[in-house]
Amino acid sequence: MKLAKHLTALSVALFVCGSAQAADTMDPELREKAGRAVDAGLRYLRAHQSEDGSWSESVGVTALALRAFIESHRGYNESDGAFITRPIGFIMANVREDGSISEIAQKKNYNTAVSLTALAATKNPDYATTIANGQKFLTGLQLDEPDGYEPDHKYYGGIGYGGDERPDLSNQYMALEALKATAADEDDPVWDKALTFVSRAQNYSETNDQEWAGNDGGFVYMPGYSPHEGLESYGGMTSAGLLSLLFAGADKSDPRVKAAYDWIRANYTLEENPGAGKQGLFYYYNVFAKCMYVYGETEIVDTNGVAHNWREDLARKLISLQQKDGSWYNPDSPRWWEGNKDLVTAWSVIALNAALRD
Amino acid sequence: MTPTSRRTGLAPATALLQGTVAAAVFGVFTACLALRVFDVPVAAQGILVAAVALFAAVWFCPVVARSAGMQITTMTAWSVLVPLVVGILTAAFSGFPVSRFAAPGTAAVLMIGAASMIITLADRRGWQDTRTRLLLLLAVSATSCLWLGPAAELAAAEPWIATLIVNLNPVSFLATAADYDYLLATWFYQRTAFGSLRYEFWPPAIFVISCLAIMLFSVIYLTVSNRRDVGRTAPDGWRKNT
Repeated sequence: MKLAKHLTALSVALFVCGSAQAADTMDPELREKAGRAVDAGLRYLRAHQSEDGSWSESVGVTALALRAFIESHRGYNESDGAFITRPIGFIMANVREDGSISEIAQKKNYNTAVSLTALAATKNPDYATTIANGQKFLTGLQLDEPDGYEPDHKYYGGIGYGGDERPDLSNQYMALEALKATAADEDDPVWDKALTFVSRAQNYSETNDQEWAGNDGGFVYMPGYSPHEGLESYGGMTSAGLLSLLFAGADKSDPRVKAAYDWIRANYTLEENPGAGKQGLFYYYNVFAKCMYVYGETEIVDTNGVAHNWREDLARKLISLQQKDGSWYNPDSPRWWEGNKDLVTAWSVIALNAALRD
Repeated sequence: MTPTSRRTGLAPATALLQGTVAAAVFGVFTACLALRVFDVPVAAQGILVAAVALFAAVWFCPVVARSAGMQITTMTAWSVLVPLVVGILTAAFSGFPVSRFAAPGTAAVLMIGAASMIITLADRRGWQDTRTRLLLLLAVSATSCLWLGPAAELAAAEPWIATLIVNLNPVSFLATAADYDYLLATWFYQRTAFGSLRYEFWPPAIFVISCLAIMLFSVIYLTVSNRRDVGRTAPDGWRKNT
């Protein structure tokens, strides 16, 4: 069990370090096509970058696009030019006194989390202080005793958009991803508290003490609420939940991890965001790719016994959905900003980067 | 019909006192009830109380039949008094952190100032039911994020539409003053699509300038029309009243 935990931690570390390598986990011809799709996506992003280096005038979108470049098979870094240094400059220009990184007072967790992940990907020690302050900001957002939340509260251990808005699994996973990417202290209580919240968003009554909890092993947006049908689990959140469990130190032998993975097996598809249709489709692709990469299995055997190479399936799907200009967007549902080409292209490239990585 | 017929016949101080008591009773009761019934996040409590104070202030706004100077002074005092009394008493009765009220309360002062001036100005013009129309407008715009959610979702390809809807909402001004995105709070997130769409809050300066502009226009209009009225031979002793 300990070995499994270490292996999971190793794969997490490799993932967040973002090294691009060749591998035999994908058909070579498809790998080449996926690489070209990444290049086209990056070309789109370069063509739509603002003068100040940002995308969509948003710290969050800028950080995601930056990450897409740095983690790509091209291995871009700051020495490659202004298209990398300017977005970093834009991010750094929006660092606030409280340690957050955001151009607006709202959504500070989201913006800070993706910024920290992108800054960590640069591996530049110059950003160490910014990263350390950002870590403090993120951990400070976690709802716990000093905020008046006791361990039996359904929101305990959760992180939301920032301020004292309700926590949710999406913001939680991004904060945890940032903390993991920036090598936050593994003994920090933030991880255990996070596990408490994450477990309470899972439809798994064996470990979830909330009355509403079902038993399919999937996840919902926040304890007792899903923006889709009733309290049904759905793909985007189940991948986010599984990823959060892995980031927080649960391993493959953990019953929560097993239950979540079984949900993914039972609902395996890339035609839609399972349980949510076309809503949040590209968010799903992004988090699914990262989740499967960290989980460390190339093949997913569904509950009918059919084996799926998720890397190949995801690459084919994203290639088929790419626009002629190299971008991606969701024509079926604009919710969660999926009508924004800069954001969705960055998400898609990051997903392909994860699929292409060994 | 003389201009005084729609106005309270009370002296400004008496009208101010009576109105403040009525607005305070209504506002404090409503705010305490709302805080008790709904699970309002701490950061949003001040915004809720400020919104209640705004509605109470418009509903009970007195209009005094005195000089322009007196009307302006009374409305200024009214704009500060109502939020202050409602905020402090609600904090005393419900225990909500009054420090959370400072920013949205200040925003409410400005909005009440602008609304009071509009009511006073409309009264001078002889317009009927201004208070009711203003309240209706406030109610419709304050709830627009609920009933315009589906339309905003359909028009999500044009984020400026969602931005416009959000920012034409008086609650947004109160919320931006408190740096709080109320559309992401559980209650709103579960009832409207706005929380999942792209929108941006306008800088509070835009609201502040708008409120100040309304107040300034009203002050100038009242002063000028008052001088004009004084210069005329008014029927029914209107000149005496002004």
